Amino acid sequence: MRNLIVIIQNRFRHFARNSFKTVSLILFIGAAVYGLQNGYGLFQKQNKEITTIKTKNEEYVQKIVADRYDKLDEHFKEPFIAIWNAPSTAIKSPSSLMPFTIGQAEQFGYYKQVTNWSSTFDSDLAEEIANPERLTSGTLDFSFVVLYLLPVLVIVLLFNIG
Amino acid sequence: MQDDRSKGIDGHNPSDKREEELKQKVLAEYKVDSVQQLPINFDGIVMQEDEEYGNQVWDKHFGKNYAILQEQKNVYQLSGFFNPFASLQSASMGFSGSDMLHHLDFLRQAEHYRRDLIKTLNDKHAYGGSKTGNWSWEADNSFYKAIKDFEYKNLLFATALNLYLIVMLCLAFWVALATLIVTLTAKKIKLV
Repeated sequence: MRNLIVIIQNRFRHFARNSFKTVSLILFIGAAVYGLQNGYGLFQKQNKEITTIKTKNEEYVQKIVADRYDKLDEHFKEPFIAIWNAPSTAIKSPSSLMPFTIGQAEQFGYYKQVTNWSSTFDSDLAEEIANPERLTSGTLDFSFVVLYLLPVLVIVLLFNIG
Repeated sequence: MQDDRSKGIDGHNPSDKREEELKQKVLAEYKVDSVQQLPINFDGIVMQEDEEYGNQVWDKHFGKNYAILQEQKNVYQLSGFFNPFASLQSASMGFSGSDMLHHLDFLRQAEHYRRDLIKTLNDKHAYGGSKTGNWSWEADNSFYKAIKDFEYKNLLFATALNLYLIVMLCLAFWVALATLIVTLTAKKIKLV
């Protein structure tokens, strides 16, 4: 046990005296925090947008009920006309793991308007076909830091670089 | 897609050939001479037929898109045998629900919901109690209250695992290879 403590003390001294390693660790922590912030920001943004959509839909329905005979077609409860007046949205709530891995969530829509004149299949996949490189580059999120930067940090810490 | 769509029946074009065929079929089924004599609303049937034709067109064209995307995804997943980082990245976003396959699943579920919803409305228009040409008949509140909102169901873990089988095999391959290399070379390293 005593030997282990001595080894750790010596390793820490070695680390503290090597500015290159210290700076590398600080940069790594900075990138990790930035990546987490990036993911959490997107997670919050999507949730906020989803709440706004639900609120607006609810308000619209209330307005329809209130203004029934004033502004809208009086036969809006006729099934064909109903879909034109009723806001219906298909929503994909973000995964709770999104702050750690943004993945491709940035480039895809997470809500679709449900109508009788268009499909929910749309052109938001065109970017995926046109630019497959995005698959490999991705966003600087926490998983990028762990997958790509952590191995570099381990090499820096284990070898006497610099 | 527009060309394919225009070849189909148009719910608002009475001269359409397909609509005429449908009309004759329904009249024969109910044994009447005109749509006005039908006990149902023929407009609702036409709209649903048009909807289903449109769905076939969408399935055909978007099906091609999906096949390309799946092929692209397979190639990228197979690249994990040369680049373990690709496998790690794929597995990471795949099991976090932020990848393309989850997005495609969302689109499919949303489209199924849309088709069910439109069919429910069209069927109500056709068989709910109104007659052909009546655009002022209203369904009651209980009908609309019975229509459920869309709710996205996340992929099951087993399903996601199946979609990322190649990726998991790649990772297993690299773990086995790394273990083998360490085992073979560790004995040769001289301790200082």
